[in-house]
Amino acid sequence: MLCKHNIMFNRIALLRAERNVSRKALAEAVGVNFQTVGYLERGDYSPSLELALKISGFFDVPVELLFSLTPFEPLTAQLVRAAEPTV
Amino acid sequence: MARTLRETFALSRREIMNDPQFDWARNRTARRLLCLAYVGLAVIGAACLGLGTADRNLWFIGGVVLTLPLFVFVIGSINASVRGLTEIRTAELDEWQIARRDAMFRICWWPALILLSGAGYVAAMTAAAPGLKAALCFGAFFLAMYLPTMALAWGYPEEPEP
Repeated sequence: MLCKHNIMFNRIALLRAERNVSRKALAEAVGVNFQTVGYLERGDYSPSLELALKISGFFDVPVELLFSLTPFEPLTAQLVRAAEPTV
Repeated sequence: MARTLRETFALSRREIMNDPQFDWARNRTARRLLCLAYVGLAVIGAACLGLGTADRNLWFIGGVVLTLPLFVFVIGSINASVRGLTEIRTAELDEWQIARRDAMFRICWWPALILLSGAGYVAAMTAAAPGLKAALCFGAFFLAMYLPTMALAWGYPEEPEP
C-alpha cells in the first residue's frame, strides 16, 4: 500500500552521512541540483525511476535498499535484532 | 567577489540565477516580501497611470516611469530567489524544478486568464472612465504576466544546506 501523498521513503541521508558525501557532490554525480537532493531526503519529492537508479548506482546498492514505499525499520532496531543471540 | 559588467554578461542565465550573491533573497521571508513588493508596485503603477490618464497630469505619468526601475529590481530578485525556474530553458533544469515549474503554470493559468479577461472586458465593453480602464489594464497585465513566478516564490520550500 502506498503511504500518504504517495511519499517514497529513502535512506539517502543515511548513506550520504555514512560515506561522508555532501549533497552537492551527490547532486553533481547524478545530474541534479543540490536542493533536489535535500528535498528527496526530506521526503518532499519522490524521484523518477531514472534518478532513483542513478542514486542507487552512485552508492552501489540495490535500489530497493535505498527507496521504499513503506517506512524503513529504524537502524537501531535492526542493530538490536542483529545483536540478539540466535537460539 | 566583485564582477565587471562584461563578466556578468558573459555568464549564462542559469549561472546568474544560481549566483550566491542573491542568497539574501533565497529564504521564505525575503521571497514573500518581494512578492508583496511586486504587487504593491503594480498597484502604485496602475494608480499613477489611471490618475495620469484621467487628469492628463504628467506628474502621475512620471510616477509610472519611476516604478519601472523598481520593477526591474524586484522582478530580477524574485527570479533569482527561485533560481530562475520560470525563465531558464527546460534542458537546464532538473526533474524537481521542472515538476515545480509546471505545477505553478498549471495552477496560475486560469487565474491569469480570468484577470486579463476581466480587465479586457471592462476596457472594451463598459463605459468606465478612461483612467480606470488604463489602470485596470496596466495592473492586470503586470499581475498576470508574473503570477506563476510569484506563486512559485510564495510557496517555495526552504532550501537545504549544500
